[in-house]
Amino acid sequence: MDTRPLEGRSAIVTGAGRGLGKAMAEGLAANGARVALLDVDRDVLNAALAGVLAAGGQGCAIALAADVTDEKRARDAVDEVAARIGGPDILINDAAMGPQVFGSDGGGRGPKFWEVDPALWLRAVTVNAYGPQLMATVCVPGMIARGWGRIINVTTSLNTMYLPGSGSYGPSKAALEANTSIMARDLEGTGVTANVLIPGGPANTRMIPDALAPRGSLIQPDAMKEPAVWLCSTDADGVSGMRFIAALWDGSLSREAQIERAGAPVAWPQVKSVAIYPKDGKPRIG
Amino acid sequence: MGVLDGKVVLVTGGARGLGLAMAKAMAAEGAQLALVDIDGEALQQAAGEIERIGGKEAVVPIGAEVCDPDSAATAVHYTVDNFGRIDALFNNAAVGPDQVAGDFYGDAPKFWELNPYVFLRMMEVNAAGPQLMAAAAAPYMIEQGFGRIVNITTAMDAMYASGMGGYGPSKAALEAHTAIMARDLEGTGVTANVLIPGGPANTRMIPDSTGIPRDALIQPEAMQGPAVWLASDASSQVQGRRLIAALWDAVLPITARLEKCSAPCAWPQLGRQAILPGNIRR
Repeated sequence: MDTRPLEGRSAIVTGAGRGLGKAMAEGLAANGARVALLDVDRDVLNAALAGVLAAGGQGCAIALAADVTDEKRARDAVDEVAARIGGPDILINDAAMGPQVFGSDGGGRGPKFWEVDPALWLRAVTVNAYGPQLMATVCVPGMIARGWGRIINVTTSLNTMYLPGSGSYGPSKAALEANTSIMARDLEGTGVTANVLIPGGPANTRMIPDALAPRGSLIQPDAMKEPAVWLCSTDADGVSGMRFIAALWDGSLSREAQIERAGAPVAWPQVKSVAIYPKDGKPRIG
Repeated sequence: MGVLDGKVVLVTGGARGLGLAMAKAMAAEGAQLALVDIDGEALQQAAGEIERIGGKEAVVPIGAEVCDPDSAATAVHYTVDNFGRIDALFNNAAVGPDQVAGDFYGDAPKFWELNPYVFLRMMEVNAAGPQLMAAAAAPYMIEQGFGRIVNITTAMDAMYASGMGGYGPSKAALEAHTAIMARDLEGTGVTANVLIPGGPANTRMIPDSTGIPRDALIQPEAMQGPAVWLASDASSQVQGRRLIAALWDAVLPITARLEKCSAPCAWPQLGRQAILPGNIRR
């Protein structure tokens, strides 16, 4: 068993200042990767950086304040990452505005759709759906040129995508889920994979208020570490267009049993209702 | 006498394509139409066509940008000022895959070759636009105790078809959001449903450069029957469904017709749903 399977890899984790992003950054660093922590919130970055350095050793991580929806800033940040730690070989799109920004209780109770601030609804779509598209657009050409890469998008449970009271959180994640499928298809044959990784239910992050459930009963952010590390390892070469549920991850299983237990195809190909195409059309779907 | 006599319907993207086809059918059934579009010239022409069907009082053209909060709200308020109410909102305006490539079924750009702005614009117009319009219209509809929100999305697999940029993802967002709208509107007399053609339709979104003969596409008129029905009193029990126009079979009794052409919004049929702590019900 390779104890440092990510040695030599360079990773960007967005939203790495706290929560799932921070946990995944620690997991990657502890397994040998050099990690760039991105967050829009400069204040939380230093504390997160200290944790990642503690997990991976001095010099394994850098922190950059950046807004993933600002095209120029995104390009500059990726250039800076490339210059300081190489790559990036891995992009984990974790940054998101959660249901809590809309006043949701985390369990589907919150404002009705007509009570939500329009600018906030739009902003969460921009951060959660456009941000990952922009970051991937900037990172992918380098990965393809090097013949290896990983994109991991953090979406949400399929039924949370249409959970009421959460503004545009769910819809924006539905968009990202669909886009991950597109990314995987567009990347076929390049050595770069695109997958979804989700906790599998409400996680112990700031997105879920204390009133919903005891913190200890929620899925802990550390649950993301093992599947994230595995997806970034060469053991997951060729695994693309899948969604993985961290809460179902069982490190004792074989690769195949693990994929069977925690994985599924990304998006909703199992839903039977599909487009009716003219016989001489040329769909690139499936 | 039409089944939509006295009804006021707002159609976004009403100047052409599916929007105009639906508007004409609803005007023919007696509805008054607020046509919203960003293309002023096409809008005037479309309003003229509605006028010829329903008369001068039957239509008001409104130039508006659906993803601008002020512009969207103004379009709704103006409709109510003008006609006294708003019974149905058809969120049909969208930036189509034709904005990404001429032949998106064939030689289409990869996701990283897209202008990021086009992806963002699709999210704004196609996903946020319907939310902004519906958020402005819903309070009027709830007060009336009657309302219809109809969102035009796309086929489930077109939501993740590559080569169309953010088109599919933006429609996935709107599909999910329709399920949320329906839940939020339970018990108000207002419904929210999805209506799609069911495949590539004969509109400018499918350019000739795709190589598909125009008459092999689903014609915009296929939207007319289900659109009229959804806007009418008859559809009051239908909430949170997606209707496929190409499968709408007017010969069948309504129950059988709906069974053939509809399914729940989004993807509730799928397994692997959220794992919740024991005490949470949602």
